[in-house]
Amino acid sequence: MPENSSPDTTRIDLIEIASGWLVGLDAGTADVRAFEAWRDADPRHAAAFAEVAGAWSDMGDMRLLEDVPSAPPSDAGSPQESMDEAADHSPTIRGSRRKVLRAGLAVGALALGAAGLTYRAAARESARTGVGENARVTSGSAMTVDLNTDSRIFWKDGDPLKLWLERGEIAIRLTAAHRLSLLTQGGTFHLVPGVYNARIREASCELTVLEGGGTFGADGHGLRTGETALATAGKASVRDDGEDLARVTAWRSGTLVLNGESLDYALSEMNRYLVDKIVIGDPGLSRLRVGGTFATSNPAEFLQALRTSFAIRTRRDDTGSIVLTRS
Amino acid sequence: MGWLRDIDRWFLSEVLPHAAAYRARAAHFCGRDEADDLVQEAYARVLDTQDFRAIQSPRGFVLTIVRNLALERLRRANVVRIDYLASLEALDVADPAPDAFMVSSGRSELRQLARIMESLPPQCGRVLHMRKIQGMAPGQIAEALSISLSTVEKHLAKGLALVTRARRDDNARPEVECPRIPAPTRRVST
Repeated sequence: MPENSSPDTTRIDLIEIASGWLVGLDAGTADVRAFEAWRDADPRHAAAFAEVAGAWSDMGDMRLLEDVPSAPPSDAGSPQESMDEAADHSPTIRGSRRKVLRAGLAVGALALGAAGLTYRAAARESARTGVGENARVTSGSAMTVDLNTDSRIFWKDGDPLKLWLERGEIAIRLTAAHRLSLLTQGGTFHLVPGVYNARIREASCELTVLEGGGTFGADGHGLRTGETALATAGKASVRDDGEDLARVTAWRSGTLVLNGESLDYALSEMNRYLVDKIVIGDPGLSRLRVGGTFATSNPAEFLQALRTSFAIRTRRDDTGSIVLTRS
Repeated sequence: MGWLRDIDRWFLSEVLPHAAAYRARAAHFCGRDEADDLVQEAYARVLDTQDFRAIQSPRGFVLTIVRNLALERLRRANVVRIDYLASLEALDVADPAPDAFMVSSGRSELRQLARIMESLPPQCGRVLHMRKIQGMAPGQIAEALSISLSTVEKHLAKGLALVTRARRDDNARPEVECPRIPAPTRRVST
């Protein structure tokens, strides 16, 4: 049973004291009024108790992990048949108060369980891909997100769903009856069910509406199918990409579509997928125009095209980078 | 009455998941040594807020408190250079969520917790495991291990305190790696 702390109790001690209270409450040996008096005495006590209660509740959630051993490291006692936190209680409470206290404990345990659930619901899920990787994540049946190379997202269930794009590029499919807030460094998009492509470009975010629509920012600038908005610092400029939409989504089939862009641009796109980057060793090459469809998973094909079309030589330098020079 | 008040539940769901960001902000102002202390003080202020439901962004709110508390401390410390203080005051508390300090969640967080539990002293870890993973009541644990209930409670309290502190220390790390999601095979086309 913990004792009331003196005013100079260190905060480390508070964790111990709070743990003592919680365990006492859990076992039914603590005096609930004394506990409440302790907690009310100082908000630091309340903070310590809440933190401890969070750890306690989350430890219960570990049962959800399949690979946590179901028995302790050494042989110690029979396993418990009940998995219901609320149903178990200390058998040590005696006398006529027993039933009342049981009820109180059950409520307490339920409250902790609920806090655990709320905690998980409020915490954001996240996913990331490394350079050259891609991945798909789903949020229930509401949303599917494909991550392109070197990307990072966070999301949180709710209405609307919230999705943060921190880095890279994603394709979003939002199913009927759901709304999505897409939060980016350029500003926030509010989207209705549909298909979208979002990509971070330096300090901006580029959102293409493949199907569906939505609004951007506080003033509700409208976005329609086929439009691309470049959002920077809360302001968006919109253009209509029309038939060029296929290029926006080419990455999902592992391809890069070039249509006469400069070699500089082509390399910056290709390098997104490569750990060992391709660099220009001869400034004169920068302005070459490149066209074609290339696999992003393997630069060999792209390099071969450069060699045969432009007589460019390739070599690896000490760092592994691929350097392009004129033959 | 349950153990947790509404404000505690709110604190657990809205405030505590961003602990790593508070810790980092505090360390930025006051250094690592004082960071924990500063964050705990901020928590106390938050839990002393009467109208917590009106707080729109709990994360931003706590970060602001951390900053203000840090400035108070720095002002009290006479050795702080004026220009440093001025630069801190000018620092906007812009917090584009999420920042580099991700909120670990779901399974990765539970795995982290599993690792912490594995590192507990044996008896302590065993009792905590029996209570929390196997779901045995404290009295049953006492019986199974032939120890007194108060000894069970001591082990549980010690373990819980160690776990809580270890989680706090984990928050002191800037980032928590989340498990990589297996990438589907790329379809190559030309």
